[in-house]
Amino acid sequence: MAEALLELNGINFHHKIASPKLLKPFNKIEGLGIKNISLNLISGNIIGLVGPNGAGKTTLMKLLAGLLIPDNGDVIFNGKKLENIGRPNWTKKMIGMMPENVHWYGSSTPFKVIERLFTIRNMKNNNIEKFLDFVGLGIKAHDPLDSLSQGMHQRLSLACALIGSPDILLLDEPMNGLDPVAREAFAGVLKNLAKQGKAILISSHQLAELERMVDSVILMHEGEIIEEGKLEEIRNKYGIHNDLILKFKNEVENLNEILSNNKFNNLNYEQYEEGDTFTIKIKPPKSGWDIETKQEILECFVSNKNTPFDFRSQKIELVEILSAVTGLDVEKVGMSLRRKK
Amino acid sequence: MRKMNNNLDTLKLLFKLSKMEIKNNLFTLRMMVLMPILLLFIGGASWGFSDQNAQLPADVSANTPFEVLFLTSVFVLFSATLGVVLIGFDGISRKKNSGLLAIEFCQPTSRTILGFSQLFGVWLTVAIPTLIISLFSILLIYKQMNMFPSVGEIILFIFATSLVLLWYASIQLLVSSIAKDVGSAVTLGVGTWLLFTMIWLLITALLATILGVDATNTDNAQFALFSSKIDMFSPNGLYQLLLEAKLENISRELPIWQLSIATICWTFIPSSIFIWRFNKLDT
Repeated sequence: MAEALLELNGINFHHKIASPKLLKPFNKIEGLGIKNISLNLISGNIIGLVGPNGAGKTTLMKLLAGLLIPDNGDVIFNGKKLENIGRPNWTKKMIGMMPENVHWYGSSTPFKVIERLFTIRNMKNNNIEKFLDFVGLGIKAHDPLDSLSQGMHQRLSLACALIGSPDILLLDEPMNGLDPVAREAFAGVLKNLAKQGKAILISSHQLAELERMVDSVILMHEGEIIEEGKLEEIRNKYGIHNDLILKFKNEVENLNEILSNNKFNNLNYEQYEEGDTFTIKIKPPKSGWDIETKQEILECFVSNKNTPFDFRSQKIELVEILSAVTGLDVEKVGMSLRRKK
Repeated sequence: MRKMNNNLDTLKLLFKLSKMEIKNNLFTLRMMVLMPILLLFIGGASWGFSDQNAQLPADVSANTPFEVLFLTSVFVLFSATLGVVLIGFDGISRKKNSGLLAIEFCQPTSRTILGFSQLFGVWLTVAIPTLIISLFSILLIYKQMNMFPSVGEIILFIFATSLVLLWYASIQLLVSSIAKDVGSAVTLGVGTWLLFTMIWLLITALLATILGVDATNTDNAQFALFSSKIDMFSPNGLYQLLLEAKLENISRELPIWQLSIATICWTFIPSSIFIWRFNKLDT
């Protein structure tokens, strides 16, 4: 089994919120935080961190990066338990963090930004352009930050996280503002980095992209890890299966006849118009789909002279998994993505 | 030996980062605004006060080069300290709000070094041009009066001017680390400058009245002593007190040890509080 580069055991943290009182001007109260978090970041693994707003994803990222100090619990780096609650510099060398929504602006340039971070790390500055080339910013190295697009800003943030070739990458919402081409490239870069043995923790609301990229997911809700593991295993555990989507040029008039036929009795389905076409969405049986059932459904439509021009399984959004695990409505889980009807 | 090398490396890193910070600050729009202000205020004041034909109020004496420098120091307080406010008011809050501070804090370098580089960056960005213009002003004074201030007077002026700018840099970065957004950064930054530059006399008079010192006549000796004691709690006041030490016609009877302690306190306390806060800062 691959080694755990970083382990958290029973970590608790609460934000301290200023609550000044007349005789206690510096009074603070405990705010939200994270509770009893245990996780392992393993070499070569990409882990997705998913949760609704306020679930504690960014707080967890900051704790892992050493930007916040846990109230209690154990932090273990490369098998060494940290005695001091502060984070020694050698552990920071192992971590690259890409915070959420870094606002790059001003007349500075990507070159200068990276140059400063190289200097802070006491690294030689002679390969900055090559380094920027790696994230696709080589030709923009000396352009003012103001003139760069949002996607380029994200690449610069990623470049900052990669300085010093850290073993652990913490990426907070890295897909924000990236176009589909850049997302694809970004996913490729991450997979390559994972192949090099880096442990990557990535939080995102771009759930579809995350799903394709990660080896496993951690679901967070209200500051706690509520589920973790491979996506497929979680789906099976909670019985979350894909809807079947069939698209037709014309309305299927004898739909009830076709689907109420023999073994399809228990299926839930609906037909709706979508522009010039008609879509039939069939909910999965409790046990999930098997290939034979899908094949039989298709054959039934074809034999009734209703051949679909599109036949596929609809992708399950992670929000639905989250909803199933938390027991909350999809709307209440509060994710940014909603399934289009 | 190893520890010494580490300390040397730390100093080198601090020097490199501060230099970078100064370079970044020097070529900004703010500095373009500040440079002519410094030149006009400090250069203009020394030129004007050293002009023997200038009609000055009866109680203002500008008969020696150092008296001219002392009068110019008022303009240093109005321009150079404002420059520190301009450069430093959002020195921390801007980085914090943009997310850059989080990236820097993730790097394997102590926050103390980062904090000091920030402090030296803001301080020296304003101090270097201010001191160059001050030296240029001494040449202007020579041109007008055909006399230079003594070496001791020049050193005192440069020393005190550098210190007052350091004190302001510490205060500005401290309030910037407290500020949550641009609005509060401006309010706190300019507010502290206004407090020490404009409102301090009012506070002094108010305290004098409360404590039974006659504040209706600012020329009386009791009020002068009282106000110089209160001035030690203001960077502007202490700056003037330090310079007054070389003036022959002013005697406020403040013991030198009190001035020294106040100087040490102003040099180390605000900067230490800033570094302490910087180390505790939540990104």
